Amino acid sequence: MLQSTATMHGVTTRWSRHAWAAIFILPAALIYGAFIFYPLVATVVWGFLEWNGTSAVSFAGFGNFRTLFTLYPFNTQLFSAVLHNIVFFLLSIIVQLLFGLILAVLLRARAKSRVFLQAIYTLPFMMSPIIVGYLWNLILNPIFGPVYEALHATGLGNLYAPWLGQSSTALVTLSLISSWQSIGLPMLLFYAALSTIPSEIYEAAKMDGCTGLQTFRWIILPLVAPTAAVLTLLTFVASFNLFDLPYAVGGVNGAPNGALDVAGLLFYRLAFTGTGNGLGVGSAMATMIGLILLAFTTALLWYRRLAERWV
Amino acid sequence: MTRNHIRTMAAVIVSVGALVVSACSSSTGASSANTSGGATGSQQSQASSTDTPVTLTVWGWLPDQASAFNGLFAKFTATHPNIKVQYQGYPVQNYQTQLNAGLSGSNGPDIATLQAYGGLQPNIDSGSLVAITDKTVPGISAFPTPILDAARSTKSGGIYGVPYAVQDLGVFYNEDIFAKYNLKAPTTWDEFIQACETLKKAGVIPMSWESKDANAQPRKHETMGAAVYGGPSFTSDFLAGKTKMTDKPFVDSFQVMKDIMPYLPPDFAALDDPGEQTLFTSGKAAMVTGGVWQIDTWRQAGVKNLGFFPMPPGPGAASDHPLVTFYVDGSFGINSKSPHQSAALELLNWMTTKDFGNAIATDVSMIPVVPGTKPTDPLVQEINAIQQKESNTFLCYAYLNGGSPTCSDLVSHAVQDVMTGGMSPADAAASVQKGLDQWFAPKK
Repeated sequence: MLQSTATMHGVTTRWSRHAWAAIFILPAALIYGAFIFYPLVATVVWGFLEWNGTSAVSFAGFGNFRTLFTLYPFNTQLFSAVLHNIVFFLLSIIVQLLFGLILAVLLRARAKSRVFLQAIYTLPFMMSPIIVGYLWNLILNPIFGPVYEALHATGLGNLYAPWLGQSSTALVTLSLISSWQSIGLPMLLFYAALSTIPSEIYEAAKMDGCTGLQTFRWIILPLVAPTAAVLTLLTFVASFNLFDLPYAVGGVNGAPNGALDVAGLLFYRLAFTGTGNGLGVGSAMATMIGLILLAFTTALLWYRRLAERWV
Repeated sequence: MTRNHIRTMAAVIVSVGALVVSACSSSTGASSANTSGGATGSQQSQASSTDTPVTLTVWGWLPDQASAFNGLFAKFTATHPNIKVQYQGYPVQNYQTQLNAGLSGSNGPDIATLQAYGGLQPNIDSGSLVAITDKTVPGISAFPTPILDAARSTKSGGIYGVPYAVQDLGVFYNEDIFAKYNLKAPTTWDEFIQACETLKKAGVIPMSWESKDANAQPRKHETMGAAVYGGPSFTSDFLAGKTKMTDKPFVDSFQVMKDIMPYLPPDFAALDDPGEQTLFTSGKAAMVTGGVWQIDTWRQAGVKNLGFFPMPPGPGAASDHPLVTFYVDGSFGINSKSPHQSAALELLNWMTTKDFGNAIATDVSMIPVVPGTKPTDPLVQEINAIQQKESNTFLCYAYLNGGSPTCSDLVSHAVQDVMTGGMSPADAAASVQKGLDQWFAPKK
């Protein structure tokens, strides 16, 4: 109602404000559109087409999706791959939340070496996952690796196992390697969250007679919960987009014996090592991964909104 | 809803719609451009003549040998002064993806190394390659048919590339280590086991191995199992529908891989390809499975005296003599979008000459396929001679990679499951057959 009774003058200024805003947003919007939005939409569209190499042949409807669930061995590999992603996520989030918070609390206690420690802990994050994968493959190598040598030299040889070569331990080891690489981020985020807690709250808690543990449970935890939620989200997305690290450690099949096979590797095999309709089935798989991520993100945000009411 | 909200929603819907339409049209638009280009490519008269200097780009999957290839192509430029050739190598794992992108875009090569057999079919079908005939490249009529099959379209029967080399697979060994323990290249299964036992007792790993490189697993299976499943006789029976992979010979070809496990590095499941190579080149392992393309690398890494033997068949094997598995490595084909069609054809014609064949042998140490040419390296000559007599074509690669799932993919998983996952050979063979049954129909 207000708008329809606005004066000519009011409408003009509102319009020119919007115009300026649009002009300034345009470059970012173009980049976003070209590199994020367009590939996203194209992938979804391509999943509904049938391909021969790099040219689309016909409209396939849900055919590619059906192939994902019916073509052997991809259908069985699909379930184990997604399962591995979920396991990887659970392991990663537990380690990263726990150690990220511990490191952040420890970091707060240090004044002098803080910047230096922050740098070291974040350094692996800068390395390419491929390099990290090959590096750890070498470190844990059963014949030349330093871990093997060190354990045997100190008489702890029976503690050694070829962790990246056994189906039972490969995925856990991989998630630990990944956590090693990305521990810097949770640490920094939690540190920032802890820094926003005013010292008056701590003083009030001490006056009320809270022990350290009670302070942790009732003051620190609720105030870092939003950060934990953000980290959970980021880790979930990263866990489902995982490709470089398992590729470097286990090859395209996720060796040993498919223990490291994740959705990203399966997507790669579908899209690039099959023949003919690789782009179609691969795009369908990518769309599916995207839907899983969308579902989880929506669920998490909805839960957060609920949780904020009674935490 | 306010007017602004409506405007914003309209803008979003229009832009999404535009993107959807462009996504659809770009994918189909590209195909129509390609097919028309491909069909008339060979008949197009290009403006570029060989009087104006031209540089042809050739893409391949051997970046380590790029300078060797450039030296090889310099011989062409010596007799064709206006045409320079530049070889660009990309890592083999990503090569096909790179090539697909290059051929469908505008930054592709003039000439591309093409995968043999099933691997080049999608490129043919999307019209990215120029068909060659014995009118445009007369030399190809002298090539043996099994060699030309590697560059043939399975749909039209037309040839789309000039094959340049074959690769042979087998067991390579460090002659110095063998001499140290008075061992000779085994010719029977018992001799092989004997050699392994001697080496193991002496603290040397008999055979280096890895299980992580997915591409290498089918090659290992052929090297160890070809004589066990019977090579060419099994292949022709299988293609005709008279036998299946679930029959004893093929199941046994997985069993033999289990049988050699005591002689492989401890914890080989944790090794990858660089690990396998290092074990062999550092002298910790005496033998390794591989192919002739690795000879130069091993020699440069320090294995001074390299020997070769084809894996002897074990008891109960379908073949009574060892077999050397070979496959055409690839062919060179012309990008239908290349602006230098006539110069590219001249290069392809040169690739059917003995000059090229001999250069393949001397410059890049491969086995040439040009009739009348031979490899020059004595070891490669020896391997080639054995292969001519006791030959087996790489079954998966040559005949069974034309559909999805490919035989190579299935065998790759099967080998890994048997060797690192405890799967039984019967189940492994059954998994390969089950995958192939979904698309492969024997020609009865």
